[in-house]
Amino acid sequence: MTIDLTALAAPDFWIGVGIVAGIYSIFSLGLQLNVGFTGILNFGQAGFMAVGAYAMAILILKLHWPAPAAIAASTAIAMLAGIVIGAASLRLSGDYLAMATIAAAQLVGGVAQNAAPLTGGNQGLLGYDAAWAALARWMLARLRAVGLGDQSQLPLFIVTWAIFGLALALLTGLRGTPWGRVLRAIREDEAAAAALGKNVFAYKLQSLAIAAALAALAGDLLALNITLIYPQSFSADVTFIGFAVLVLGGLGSFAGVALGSVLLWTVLEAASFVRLPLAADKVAAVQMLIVGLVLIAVMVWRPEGLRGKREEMVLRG
Amino acid sequence: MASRPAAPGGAPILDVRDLCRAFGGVRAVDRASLAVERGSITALIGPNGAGKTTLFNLVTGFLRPDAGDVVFDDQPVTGRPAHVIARLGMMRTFQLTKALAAMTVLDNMLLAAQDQPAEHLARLLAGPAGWRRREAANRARALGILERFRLAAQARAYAGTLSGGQRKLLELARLLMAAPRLVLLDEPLAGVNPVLGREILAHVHALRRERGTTFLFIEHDMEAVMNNADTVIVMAQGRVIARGRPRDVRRDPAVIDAYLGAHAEDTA
Ligand SMILES: Nc1ncnc2c1ncn2[C@@H]1O[C@H](COP(=O)(O)OP(=O)(O)OP(=O)(O)O)[C@@H](O)[C@H]1O
Ligand SMILES: [Mg+2]
Repeated sequence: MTIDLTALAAPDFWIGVGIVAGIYSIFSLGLQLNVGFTGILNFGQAGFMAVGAYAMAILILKLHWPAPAAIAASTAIAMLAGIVIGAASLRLSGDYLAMATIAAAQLVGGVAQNAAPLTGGNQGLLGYDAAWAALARWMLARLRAVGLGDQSQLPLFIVTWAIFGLALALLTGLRGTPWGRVLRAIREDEAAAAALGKNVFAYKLQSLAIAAALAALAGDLLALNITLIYPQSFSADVTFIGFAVLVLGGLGSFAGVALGSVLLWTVLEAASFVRLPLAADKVAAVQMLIVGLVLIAVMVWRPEGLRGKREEMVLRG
Repeated sequence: MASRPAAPGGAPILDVRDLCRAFGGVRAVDRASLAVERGSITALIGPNGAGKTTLFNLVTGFLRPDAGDVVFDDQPVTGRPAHVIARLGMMRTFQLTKALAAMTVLDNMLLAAQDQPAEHLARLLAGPAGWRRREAANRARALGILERFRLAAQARAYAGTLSGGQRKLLELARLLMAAPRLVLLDEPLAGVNPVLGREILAHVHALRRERGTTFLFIEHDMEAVMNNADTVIVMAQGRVIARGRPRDVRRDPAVIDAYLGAHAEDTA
């Protein structure tokens, strides 16, 4: 086992961590809306992410859509998927949505693997990021003027966190509205909300559709970051890490999601400098082990997460 | 049982006919029929397990009936979703209080307001300006009601920090905010100290007097039933076995029998 920590001092290490952390922040904002603010268990967030990323790549590569239109369409398609899955399962009790989202994510993975003419199968898809590369070059030229021209990943970092900032502002704004208040009521007691005339089903569908849109945006950014997407890019591990981010940041805090994600990915990426004599699949297992340890450490120290409200946690029982 | 005398004020506000609901082999509600007169305070009594709460659940859309009809204010509402029935103006409380504990008392009140268009995402995004004015008006109205219910000091506290009796008061205050025409209360006095209980009953009478709100309440406290209800409806084993003025119902042999029978079963 060897440890080389010099890379930790390099800016491109932190920019790389920041991009992944930002992508997972956007991804987990959707989970926070579902789990922390509506009380619905969406275990298929990685599936919506895959729908978004593949939709964008396919529209660009096969139908030659302009990238902005493809990105807009990819979020719309993911929202539609969320509405279909929600409509099929949300009228039943909460457990059915959890199962339906797991099943749907599996289905998306299966299609990505088997519809090779469209998705490239296990080889995946690449070459969808030409328009992005051009934009990044343009941004780098501007960044050069302020002396940041040699950080090639900086444009994606900026765009990712700008999208996170917009999504955070939107969701935080919505939380304070009467609409957000109904969601909180539903999270706490569906029957009480229904007794006051609220259409619980409609609110849950809206929550799920918004979460799916955020997953799709995160998927699009992930696709631009890794430049090659294949089915394993969106495995159930992604949803698991999303839930870890949620618990770390604190249930019911949108801003906490970013803190949780940055903390988790700093630890994960720093840990990857510890060179263990292990095969690739074992490394993934070690990664999950680290996620678990970070979770336990934070839970012991602050059960409500970094930004959760302990009082609400206790009162909701 | 089938006698449903027409109310002096015209058609009953609630008309339930031959309602049935079974859970497995248990016929919780078994061809129950009853009518609630407009503007009345009506009590629904009966031994434990008589089907009173189930009847509430069927009438308010929280359970679907196997058979039978529910007519609210001349509209058939049988089998309609709970939120639709609530919006039509028939609202209920629950046997186990459902104050939203992790929300503030004030948010509990604002949630009940029925005239806030910004509760709907489409309208919120279409016109993000106007709702704040409505919200301010609702807040003023909510604080006025809380004042009256002696909960104003706790307006910003989490509802979960209130005592059990105060939560029941909050549930009633919340309904007042929503202004339904018919209120169904499931054991409003259970677990409430006598002082707060009298307060709750005073609010019920005041609401009827001021707004003409009709009340149907389930209650085991016989003294409260006899002193406050205009009409008493008695259920046993899923059926309505008697209906009348309190003092008549108390002497009804079928009623005495039902309660004694239930008592005998309890002790057997
Ligand atoms: N969801 C349910 N599933 C199965 N059985 C039920 C359900 N709800 C009620 N029951 C049964 O139906 C019968 C009527 O119950 P209900 O709660 O309506 O009685 P109640 O008159 O409200 O009694 P109490 O005065 O004790 O509240 C009981 O035998 C009860 O066990
Ligand atoms: Mg009951």
